[in-house]
Amino acid sequence: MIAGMQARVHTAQLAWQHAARLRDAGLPFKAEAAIAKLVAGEAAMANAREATQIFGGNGFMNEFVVARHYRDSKVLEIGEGTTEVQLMVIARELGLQAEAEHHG
Amino acid sequence: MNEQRHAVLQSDALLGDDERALRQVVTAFADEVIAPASYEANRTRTLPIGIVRQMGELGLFGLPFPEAVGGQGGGYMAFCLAVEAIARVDQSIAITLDAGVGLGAMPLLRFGSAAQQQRWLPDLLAGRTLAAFGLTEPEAGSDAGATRTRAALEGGEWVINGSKQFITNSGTPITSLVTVTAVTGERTRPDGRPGKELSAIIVPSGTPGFTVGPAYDKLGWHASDTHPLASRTRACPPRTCSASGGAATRGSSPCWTRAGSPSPRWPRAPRWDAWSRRWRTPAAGRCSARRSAHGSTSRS
Repeated sequence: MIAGMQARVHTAQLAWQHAARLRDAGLPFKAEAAIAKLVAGEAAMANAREATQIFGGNGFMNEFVVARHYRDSKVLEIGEGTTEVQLMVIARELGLQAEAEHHG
Repeated sequence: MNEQRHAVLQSDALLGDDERALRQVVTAFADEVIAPASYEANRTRTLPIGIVRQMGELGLFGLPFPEAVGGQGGGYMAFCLAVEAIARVDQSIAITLDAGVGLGAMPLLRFGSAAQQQRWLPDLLAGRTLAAFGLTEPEAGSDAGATRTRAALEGGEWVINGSKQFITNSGTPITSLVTVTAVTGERTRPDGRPGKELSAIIVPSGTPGFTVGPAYDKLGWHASDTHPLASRTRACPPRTCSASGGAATRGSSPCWTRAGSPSPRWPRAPRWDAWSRRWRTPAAGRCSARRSAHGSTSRS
């Protein structure tokens, strides 16, 4: 379980670092930033859920950081452009039509 | 544990020396200063202003800004490294930094006049104040084109009518301004269809008629400051928001009015690659001693 979580963290880091490097180099980065936001937000939520499970009952207690991350991470799939909006941005960058942009 | 973690993450090996040093400094700050305060800040739903100020002293709020305007001269890679290192420990503090820089101060750098930058950026980049960006509305989230808030010039003043929601950093004790988006007219889109003209207007905190609603009762991010906003009256005094004063940007393509002004004088700021020394020496003890400095903050 922890190995899978590490794979998500690593993937998310590669995604945002690539977008940031593109931005700092003055290159187009819109699709890469949207992918990074999508991947990292979902990685955080998935990892927070699994970490909470690993902690068992303690994971449900606010004194444990995993409980806070469980509550905090959900908004990463909503705020500053929902996951669905990130998909729309990526679709647009791929030149896809609006009809194809609205899938969950 | 950190060594083990870094051994696994190959992405660390490709960081520049400055970037790796930055990550180490901010990670240490997060572990030693933020982590001990997080439980209480989140339980009491209070943004720890003392920690915001310490992040300012570290230079985090000026990180992706050029030295010419008092920033640290880093890029988004450096800034995101800092945000990540903090989010690992406390997402509320991370979003306070992220929104303060990306939504609060960065629009001023990119679209603000020299006079606006000179007035607002020094305190924002030092973490002495926070700024917010009011875009989201009850019926306009990521779709800015659905914005209902309207603004019109009347007698040289912008009169703003509308409401915003979920605005991060908009009601902290140190919030200095909210940049609000509003429909200011009609325009023709590139494809020939009619569209709205959207503008971004700086509204200083305390402007009469501009109301910051009670803090939201959120599922998470309990130590992050989030409010609804309403503007029902003449929102902008002429000296801060008039078109002639250059406080507003008109049109969806950013075209902030450039008011003539003398060359700004910026305070000297430490470069971010010098943080390591600053943090390792006297700052650690001082930061630890000020952990409880957030207790007196309140929400409006």
